[in-house]
Amino acid sequence: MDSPLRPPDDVISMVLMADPVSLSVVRERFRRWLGALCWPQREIDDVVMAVNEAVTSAVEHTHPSAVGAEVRVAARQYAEPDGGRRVIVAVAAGEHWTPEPEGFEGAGLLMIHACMDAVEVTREADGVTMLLTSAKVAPA
Amino acid sequence: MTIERDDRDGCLVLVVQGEVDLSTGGRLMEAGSAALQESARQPVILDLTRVDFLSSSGLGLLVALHDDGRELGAPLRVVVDPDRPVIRPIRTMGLDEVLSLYRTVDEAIAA
Repeated sequence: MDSPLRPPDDVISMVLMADPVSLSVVRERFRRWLGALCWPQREIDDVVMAVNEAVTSAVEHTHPSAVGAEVRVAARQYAEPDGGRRVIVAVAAGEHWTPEPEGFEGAGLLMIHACMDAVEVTREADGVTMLLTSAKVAPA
Repeated sequence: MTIERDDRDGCLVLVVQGEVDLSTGGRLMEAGSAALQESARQPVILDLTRVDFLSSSGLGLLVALHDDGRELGAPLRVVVDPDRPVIRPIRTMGLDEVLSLYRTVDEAIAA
């Protein structure tokens, strides 16, 4: 049980089924987390939108035969020297994920860029990770 | 996500409630396509004022329904509350210039 006096965690992580039903789960988890960290509603909406689009892209690129395939999401809030806060979100999926624009999928990436300050994709032998850095919000 | 179908002043109205994403969008696409087919060249109104979340896949299907409506001669009119979060992704993708947007169902019917 969480004590009401305990400050909310600066980190959150989850492992999701690579399936569209996971999307509402990840949105709800981020909404609650950022709400507990007292983020403004507009910036919460932006982070939730960007994470939803990144996980959507990862789910869409996971081969349907990959039973048990997972998408891993982890995020951390950090403070800059001026006290302003950001979150950095990592969305990681299998090697077949290509988060670069491709047809209408470009729309998802465009949305991510509109909602976040920085987007970076790294490709390793065993998978692809998208790193999203949010806009900066006021100190808590 | 739930979809309720209503008939108002000769217009088919689809009232959508909840979240439109990759997992729920297919049902909205089906309901929208069916309404456009059945409307006999009358406008179809998509009421999104009770939608809490709209992803880019949801935006894609709004554009697809809008295009289908033009082909069938049954204009798609989309109702969104400009004070709710749904309007932001629509504006981000520039779809406020593409879709026929209204603030209320009454406005959409009268248009």
